[in-house]
Amino acid sequence: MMEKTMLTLALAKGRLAEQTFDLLERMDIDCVEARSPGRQLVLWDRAQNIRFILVKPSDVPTYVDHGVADLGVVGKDTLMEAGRPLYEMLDLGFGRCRLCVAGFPENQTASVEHATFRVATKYPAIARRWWRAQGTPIEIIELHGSVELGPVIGLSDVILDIVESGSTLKANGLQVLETVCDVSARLVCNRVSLKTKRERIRWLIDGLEAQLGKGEGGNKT
Amino acid sequence: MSLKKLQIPTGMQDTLPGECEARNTLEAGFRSLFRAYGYHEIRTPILEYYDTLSEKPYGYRPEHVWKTFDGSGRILTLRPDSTIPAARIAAGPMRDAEYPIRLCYLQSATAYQMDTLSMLCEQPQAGVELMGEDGSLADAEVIELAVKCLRGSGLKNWQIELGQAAFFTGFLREAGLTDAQAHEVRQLVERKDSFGIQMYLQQESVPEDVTGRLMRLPRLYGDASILDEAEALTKAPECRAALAGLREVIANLRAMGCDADVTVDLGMAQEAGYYSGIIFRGHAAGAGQPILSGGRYDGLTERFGRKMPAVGFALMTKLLMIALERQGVRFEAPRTDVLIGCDPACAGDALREAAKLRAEGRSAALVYHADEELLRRRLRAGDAGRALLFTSDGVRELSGEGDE
Repeated sequence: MMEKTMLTLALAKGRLAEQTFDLLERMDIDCVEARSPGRQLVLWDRAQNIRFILVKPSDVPTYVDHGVADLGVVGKDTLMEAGRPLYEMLDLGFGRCRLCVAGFPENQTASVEHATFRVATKYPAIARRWWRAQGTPIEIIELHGSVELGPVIGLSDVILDIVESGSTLKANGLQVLETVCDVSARLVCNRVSLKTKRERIRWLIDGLEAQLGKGEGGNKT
Repeated sequence: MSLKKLQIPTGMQDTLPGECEARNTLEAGFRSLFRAYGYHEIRTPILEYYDTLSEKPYGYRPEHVWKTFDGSGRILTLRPDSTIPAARIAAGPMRDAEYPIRLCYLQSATAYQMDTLSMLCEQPQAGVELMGEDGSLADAEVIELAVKCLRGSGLKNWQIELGQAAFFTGFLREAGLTDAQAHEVRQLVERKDSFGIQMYLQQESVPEDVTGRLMRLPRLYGDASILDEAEALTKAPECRAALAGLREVIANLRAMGCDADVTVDLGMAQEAGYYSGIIFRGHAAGAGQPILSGGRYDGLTERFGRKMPAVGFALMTKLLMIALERQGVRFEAPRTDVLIGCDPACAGDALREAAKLRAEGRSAALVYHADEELLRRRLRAGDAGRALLFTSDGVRELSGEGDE
C-alpha cells in the first residue's frame, strides 16, 4: 500500500485543541499522543500519517501561512488579527464568543484632555481597521491580558475584546457598546497545500463536515 | 565600522555567486525555451510613470508600488510587473508590428508585498506575452510554456491551476449582486470562506438559493470534472462560454501532453485587475505562495491605443529557487577549474598557463603572490578544482593536504 501523504495540523493549545481532538477521534484519527504531549512539540498519529503541532493561538496562522503546517484550527478573532491570506475551509462551531467594543456607556464623548479616543485591546490590527472604517481616529493601547482594566483604571476609553458570558464586564461595571463580529473556531488551510495535497485535505474536510453535520451545533458550510 | 553601512533597504536582496550561477542556468533554460516558440526578448525601463500603472480599472494602488520623482516632480514607480510595460511597447513602439506579437522578458519587478509573507519586494521574473491572438489555442500555448518552464527546472510536486476571471465575474453578476456585494464576496471566495459568504449574504438579505449557489464557489476546485459541476450552477451565457473555453484549453493541453500537471479552481480571483479570461497560478510544495501567475488580459492594451487580445504569465524565479532548495536541491558556490599562484617575478609563465587553460575552455584565476598555504586552503574549501604554483623553482601542482 502506498503511504498516505503526511498532513501537518497546527492547533491552538488549550480548549480549541481539545475540542478538535474530540472531532478527529470520531473520524478514527488517533489523538492519544497529541492529548498528552509532555515535553514533546511534534505529535503523531503514525497510522494516518498525521502530525500535530501545538502552538500559541496567535502563531497558528503563521505556521499555516508559511506552509509548514497544512491546516490549522484557530479562532476567527486570531485569524482576523493576523490578516494572512489563508483558506478558511470550515466553521467548526465551537469556541463561540463575540468580538465586542465595551466600556462605560456614559463615557462616550472624548473630553478636551483626551482628544483622541483611546482603545485598549489585544487586537490592534482589528481595532485599527474597525475605527478607520468609521473614520474615527484612535490611540491604540496594546495590552496582553486583563484588558477590562483599561477603562476601569482610566487607561483607555473603551476596550475591544472577545466576550463570552460577559460576567467579567459586568463585575467591573462595563457594558458591551457594539458587536464587531461573531467568533468561532475555524479550520484554515495553506493555499498551496490545498492544491498539492488535494485528495488528503478533501478527505479530512469532508470527514470533519460529516461529523459536524451529525450534531454538536456545528455550522455546515 | 558602523553596521548601518552593511544594511540594504528592507525588501531588497543581494544575489551571491552560487545563487547567481544557478539563476543564470535556470534563466538560460527559460530563454531558449521562449526563443524556440518564437518569443522575442525585451527589456523595459526600471522606472515608469505612476499614471501609466495606476489608471483604473486595472491599476496598482499607491501603497503597492515603490515611488520616486523625476526632475520635474512627476511621480515615478519602479516597475511592479512587466505585463503593463509589454502592453505599452506592443501598442506604442511596436504599433506597426503584425499579429501575433510574441514577447518575453527576464527581468525583475518591484512591488510592496502587502498580503504575502514575502519580504522579497524585488522579484526576478521570467515571462511571456502573446498578443493579438484570441482563443483557446493561444491560451494553451502560454500554459504549455509555463508547464515546460516548471518541468525543466527540476521542481517536484507542483501544479498549475486554471481559473476563469470571466466565469467568476459572470457568476457574481448572474446572482444579481451589487458592485459592493460582489467585491465583498470576491474576497471571501478568495479565502474559500463559504461560511463567511453565508453570514454576509444573510445579513444582506440575499435570497437563499442565490446564497447556496455562491457558497459553492469556494469548493469548485479539482480535476476537469469540476467543470460539469460548475455548468449545472449557471445559465449565464458568459459563464457557459467561459467554461466551454476552459474545456477547450484543457483538451488542447491534453493533446500537448500537459494536462496531467493542470487542475481547475473556479474560485480563483487574481489580484491584478486586468485579467479578463483564463487565469492561472503555479503552486509548488515548499513554496507557501504561488510561484507563477498569469492569464488573459484582453482589455489592457486598449488604454495604450491599440486594442488586442493578449495572454501571458510571469514566473517568480526566486520563489521557484526557494521551492527547489526546500525540496533538497543544493545551489553550490561556483568553483574555478584551476587556481594559479605565482611569484610576481614568474607572472609571465603563470599568465601563459592561464591563457592556455582558458583556450581549452577551462576557467583559470590567478593569485599574484606565491602563497602556498592560501592555495591549499582554497582547494580544501572546494572553490578550485586544481591549484598550480609558479615560483623561481618552476611549477608545482598542489594538493589540499599539507601543513596547517
